[in-house]
Amino acid sequence: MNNAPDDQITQRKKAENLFQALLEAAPDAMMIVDQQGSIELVNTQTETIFGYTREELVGQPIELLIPERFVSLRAAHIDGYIADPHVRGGVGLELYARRKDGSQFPVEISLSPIETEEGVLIASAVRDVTEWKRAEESLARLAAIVESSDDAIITEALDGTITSWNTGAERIFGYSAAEMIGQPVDRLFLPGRENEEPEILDRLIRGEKVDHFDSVRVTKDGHHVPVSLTISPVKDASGHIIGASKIARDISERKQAEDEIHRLNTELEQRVLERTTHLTSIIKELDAFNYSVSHDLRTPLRAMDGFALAIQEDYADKLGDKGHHYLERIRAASQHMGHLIDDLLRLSRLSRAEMAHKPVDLSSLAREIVAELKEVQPEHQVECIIEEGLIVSGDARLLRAALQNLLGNAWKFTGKQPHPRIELGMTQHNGIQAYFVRDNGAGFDMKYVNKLFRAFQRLHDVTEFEGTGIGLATVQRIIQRHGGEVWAESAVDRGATFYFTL
Amino acid sequence: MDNTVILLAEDNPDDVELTLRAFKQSNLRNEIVVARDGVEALDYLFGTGTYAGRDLNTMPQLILLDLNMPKVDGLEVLQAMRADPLTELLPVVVLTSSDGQEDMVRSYRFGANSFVRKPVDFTDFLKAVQQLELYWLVLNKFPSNYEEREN
Repeated sequence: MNNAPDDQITQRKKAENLFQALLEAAPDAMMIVDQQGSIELVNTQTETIFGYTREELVGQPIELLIPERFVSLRAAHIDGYIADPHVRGGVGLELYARRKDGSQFPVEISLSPIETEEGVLIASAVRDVTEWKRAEESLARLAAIVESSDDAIITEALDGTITSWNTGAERIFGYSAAEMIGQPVDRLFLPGRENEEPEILDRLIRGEKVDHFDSVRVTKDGHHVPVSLTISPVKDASGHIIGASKIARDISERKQAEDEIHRLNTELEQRVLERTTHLTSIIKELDAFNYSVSHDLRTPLRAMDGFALAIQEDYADKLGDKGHHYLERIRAASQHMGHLIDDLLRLSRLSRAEMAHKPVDLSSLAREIVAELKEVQPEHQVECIIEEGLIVSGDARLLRAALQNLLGNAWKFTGKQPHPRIELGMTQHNGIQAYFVRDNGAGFDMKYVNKLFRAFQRLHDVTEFEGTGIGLATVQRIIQRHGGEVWAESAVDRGATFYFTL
Repeated sequence: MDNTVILLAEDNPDDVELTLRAFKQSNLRNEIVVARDGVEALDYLFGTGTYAGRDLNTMPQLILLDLNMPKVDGLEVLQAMRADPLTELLPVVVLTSSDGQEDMVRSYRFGANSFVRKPVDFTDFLKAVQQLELYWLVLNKFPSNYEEREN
């Protein structure tokens, strides 16, 4: 019985089937090429990847699958390979293959020689690495971003061991990646704040993200650097948290700016406090001064007036007209100085009095004041035109004092006018509401207008119009305390208009 | 009532003389005792110091009290008076050059019955004195005998 050849054939068929099955099961395009570069055998993957049918490929030169630019390279490659055949992979070499439609794609090729009766054949496995390349590129891009970041970007395992360390981290903390990878992250911690990290990791494990958490870290050379931390969990493919990524921003400059602002604020507060204390003591001194002015300066005036009168009364027959006249002058001077002191005190009190801001009816205040003036001096017949409904916001007592002075002045300076007229009204001045008190009295020369509001400045002879020269200073103080302005327009014998804003 | 006393506590001799003149011009018959400072005022009121042994049955019908006085000032005199049963009800008119709010508030708080600012013009001062007399010595009524009050 010689069925050996049959057996051999069967055996061989079997092996071929197994081989074919193996080829078809491979994830890569597998092909066998002869020494001339002609394709002998391909698997289904090859058809799928390259877009050719098996029939289109078998017997064709391998160049069919290689882009033009690689053809010469391939020739050298294959020749070299034939000269020194061994199993090798194509990793590290930028290789591209060409599909039937002409499109190219990156491949990894491994070659292995097969010894046959017809000589050495080359088995090659071609792997489409498009996806892998893409992933690699995107990874490289991300790595470049991480590397170029000014912020420190660090990853660590759940036990706090550092697993990556970028250039930003090197720059901020002074340690190199080599020094830090594999080291516990608590090297960066401030003594006494070691608990911070485990707490943060606990929060991460609970699924929280930690955003802009301000803390302080210690650099390699022992400096403290303020950082703002953003910490996110790092998960594996199955979603388990395996570590944390940390972005630490150096906020030294921000902190410095904040500290500077804080310092300036503190300094400012301190200065305000000192100034206030200083002013308070000045006010106290001023109070003492006012008291002494009010009390001590008035006493001798009373003596001058009183004794001058005593002489007039007790020695009337010995004085003669001149004597009486001189004593009258002494009394008038004493009384005038008494009024000066009183006005000065009133001005000083006005400047410091508490202010209430309430609606004030200037029109009705003016009517009351005019009525008072008429009562004191009924013989002075004045035409008073008071605009109705002038309601302002301010301190009624102070505004009354201001109006008293303005209307009182108008009253006084129209004293020699045959048809005296006083007016209170409202007008627009540079788009702002201004109130005015106008009279047709003596007026004043505008070249002295800047002296008008100074205390004790008088633009008229005291024998012509009496007064202490405090009235307009008082008005100005009151208007200024209301945040307003006061100014005047006039001409000699043409009356005067005083404007004020509130 | 002519024998009743007015106590004038005033350190300024000019003011003393002018006040006495004003009293005289308004035909006041009362005896006027002048204390030149707070100590003298208290001595008179309590029969101590220069007034030791004074008959304390005679108490002033009115006290005119200046505030600014050497040694013991007017407000201290007022406090001492209000703290002692012998003098706690005596009418006190603060008569001063000051019109300071604080002086007024403290005077009233310590039990002053009136607060009058001395005007510079003597004519006005005279009028003020006359009104004070009329009011405090004629119109206003005070318990005259302390024992009656005690009983």
